[in-house]
Amino acid sequence: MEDINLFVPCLVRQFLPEVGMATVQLLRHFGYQVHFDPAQVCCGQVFINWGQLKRAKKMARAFLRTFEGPALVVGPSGSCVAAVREKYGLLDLEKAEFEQWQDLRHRLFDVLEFMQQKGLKVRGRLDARVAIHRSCHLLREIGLDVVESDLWAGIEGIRVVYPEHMAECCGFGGVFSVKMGEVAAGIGRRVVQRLVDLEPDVIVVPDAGCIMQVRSVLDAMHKDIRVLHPVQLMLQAING
Amino acid sequence: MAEFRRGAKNLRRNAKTAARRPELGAVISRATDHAIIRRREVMQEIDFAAQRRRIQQLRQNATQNLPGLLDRFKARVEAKGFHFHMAVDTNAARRIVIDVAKRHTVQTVVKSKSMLGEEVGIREALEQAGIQVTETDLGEYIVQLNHEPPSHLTAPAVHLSTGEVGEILYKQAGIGPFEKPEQMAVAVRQFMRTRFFNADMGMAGANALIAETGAMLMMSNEGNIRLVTSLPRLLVVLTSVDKLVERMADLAPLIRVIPKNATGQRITNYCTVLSAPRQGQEVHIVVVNNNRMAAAGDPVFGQAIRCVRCAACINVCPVFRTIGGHAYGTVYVGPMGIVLTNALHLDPHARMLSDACTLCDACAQVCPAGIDLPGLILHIRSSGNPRLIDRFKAWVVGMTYAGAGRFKAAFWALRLFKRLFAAGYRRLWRMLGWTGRRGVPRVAGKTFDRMWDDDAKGD
Amino acid sequence: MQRAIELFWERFTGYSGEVILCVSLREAMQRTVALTRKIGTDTVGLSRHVPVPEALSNAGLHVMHEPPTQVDDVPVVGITAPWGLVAETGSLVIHDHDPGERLWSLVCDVHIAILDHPRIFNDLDELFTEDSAHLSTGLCLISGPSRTADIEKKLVLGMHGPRRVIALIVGVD
Ligand code: SF4
Repeated sequence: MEDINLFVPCLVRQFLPEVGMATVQLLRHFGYQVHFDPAQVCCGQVFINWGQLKRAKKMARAFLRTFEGPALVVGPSGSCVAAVREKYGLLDLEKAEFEQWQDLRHRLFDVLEFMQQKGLKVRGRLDARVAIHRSCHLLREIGLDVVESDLWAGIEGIRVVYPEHMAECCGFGGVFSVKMGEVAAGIGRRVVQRLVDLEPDVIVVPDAGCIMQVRSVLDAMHKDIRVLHPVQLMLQAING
Repeated sequence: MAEFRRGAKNLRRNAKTAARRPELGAVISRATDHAIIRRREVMQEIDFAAQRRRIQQLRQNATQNLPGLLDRFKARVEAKGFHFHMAVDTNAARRIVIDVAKRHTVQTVVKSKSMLGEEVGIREALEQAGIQVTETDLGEYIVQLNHEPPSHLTAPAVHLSTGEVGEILYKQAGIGPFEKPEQMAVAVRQFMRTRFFNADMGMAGANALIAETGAMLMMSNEGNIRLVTSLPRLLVVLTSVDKLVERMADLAPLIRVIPKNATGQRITNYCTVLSAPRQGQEVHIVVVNNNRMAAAGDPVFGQAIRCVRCAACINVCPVFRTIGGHAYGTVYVGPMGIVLTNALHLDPHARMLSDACTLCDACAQVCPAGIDLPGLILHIRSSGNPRLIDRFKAWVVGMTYAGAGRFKAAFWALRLFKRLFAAGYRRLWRMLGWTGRRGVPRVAGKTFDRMWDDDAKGD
Repeated sequence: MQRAIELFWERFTGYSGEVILCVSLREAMQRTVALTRKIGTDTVGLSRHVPVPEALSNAGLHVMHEPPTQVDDVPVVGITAPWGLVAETGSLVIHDHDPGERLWSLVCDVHIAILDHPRIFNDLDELFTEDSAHLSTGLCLISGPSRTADIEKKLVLGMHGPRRVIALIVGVD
């Protein structure tokens, strides 16, 4: 059984633990031995996006140390994974750290990306109309289009719908969501309305920050629609 | 205070006000969706990636050789009988244009839309000199009547609904009252014709200046640019040095891609290559620098000068689509506006514009000049000293994030706080800035760490 | 060439231009007269580049060459002779430096373009690497009637320029 080190983004840890557990169960379902090191810290994305690169660098150092070693690292967040892979270059890392980073880059994956690359297919059944929000960083930085991907191919009964005009940002944007709260909410209202208009049973959102944003907007709209990470939906399908 | 500084300073407040008007976002996103959908369709006719490489390359060549290209352009146009003027900055540009107008005792000007015209505020300058200026582009004319700046590069009145436009035309110009866009357009056409025929001076911008031949590319759908450049005896072309390209052959990818990218149109209806003054016409070409030559040499911001003003990045920007152009308070808006304003001014105040970005990367995907807009915005965010309040917030978050133990303790405290003071918990989020029409995030009853432990025990 | 004409046709008409293929110049001139009459006028603005202008005056049309000085004197129909077309973009290539070509393709409600054995360019790259006098004196690509979508993206034809553009093409089949 291959080992996987679980990377649990800070929002998942504190706000969406069920997404983390679903990731664990799904990876186990595919036969992986999952490990979780509770000493891990935030990847530093929040500080990078904030423009606070010195603080980000401190976080990055700790992050690189935690995930040293040959094991694969998998986590449920395209934006965190993308930040580590693509944005650590901005941090002016020292030589040893830089090498750690180069090594980690090639064995760090978002969970959905990991499934795609390994050809892991979920088989099961789920009778639901599912509206998909394509989170920006997973789509544009990792390059995984949750709609076009074959992640859903083995699930019977599922009906996938999505806003076809464009994959628009939900307005979360990390620190943007509190620095420009009203604008973040304004974007969220528009974008979530599009999802609601699709009259789904479930809204699927593949990134923790976006899940938080979409839920908050739905709350304010008094809409009682479940918001799930794809891994949660897949587990449901597997379990029948 | 320079306009961009005031804009940047007031950005948060203005953005907030705009975001509280959902009808604004509805109108803008509807209009830009249209462009986005059509763009995707028409792009199937070409290989965007290949054309983007060409444009990036030709723009890069040009921006790295601005002084040389400028000299060649100047020599060519002067040989053909154009009058050439170089304007170092806004004031110089205004002075040159007003001098030309005064020398010919100009009383009326017909003008076509140009962003550079907005940048140097040429309409206001002419009006202050007692000259009547008519914007001839329909959208621009509407915002002129409404006494406001354009809200979008290629669609100046995109923030207004049909009903609002009808009212503006009626109240401000006595045209109408009409309900349908067709009726409004016909009426404006008729009204404007007289102005075209009687104007003392025409004023246009240019989409590209070709150094090799001393020609200028001008693109318009309405035909107003051709009228502006054809009918009056006196013509002023107000343009900027970053419009230079080297060869005629460079025009092909520009004409091919810009309209497709901007509005999803295959080609702009009239693409004019103006190469010599018309018979009996006096033409002045005013090339404005406004710090572009220096910016082009900047190792970081140099790439921003490659921008060809297609506005595609603006159409896809979630912030623009929600707050519109006016809230930025700057001439150039959206992702390119943030970047260009900073590139041209290298001013600490302009940095605040970089707040207006979710770093969603949508703009980078569509930019035909291959400008790394999100990367530059992030660079702007991270350069210089952030405001004290931001530094404080970052310090607080930084402290709680610095180690796994502290992280857990901080959220343990948050959880406790929530249990004890439900209303206070909500207020805390609002204080942090989680404002707007959203509920507050719900911290989970059980952390992932606990769940993991429980799961291990259960095994 | 067949392919280029087809593409031109598809794209020019796709943007509301009209195309009529004519077997001879004679036919083109006859059709011009018929079109003009159908539109309900007998005065046309005429560029000097249009071949056999007498075909129009002989048919009883009143021909204007000089630009009108007042708005009210602008005829409904303007006639020009573009020298080329671009298939890729569905565009007519006008010799824009010529006062008649420019004016009569611009100010009238209806623009009739007579293309007698035009140069045919497959794409914009072919056009702009062309080494011709037209390039150095100026050109205009016209890809249909003048248009605007400035009011809530609603398309309106005939904004400042012609509402109709009709291309009569001779000698391409
Ligand atoms: S930055 Fe790029 S996408 Fe934006 S207007 Fe300029 S060229 Fe177009």
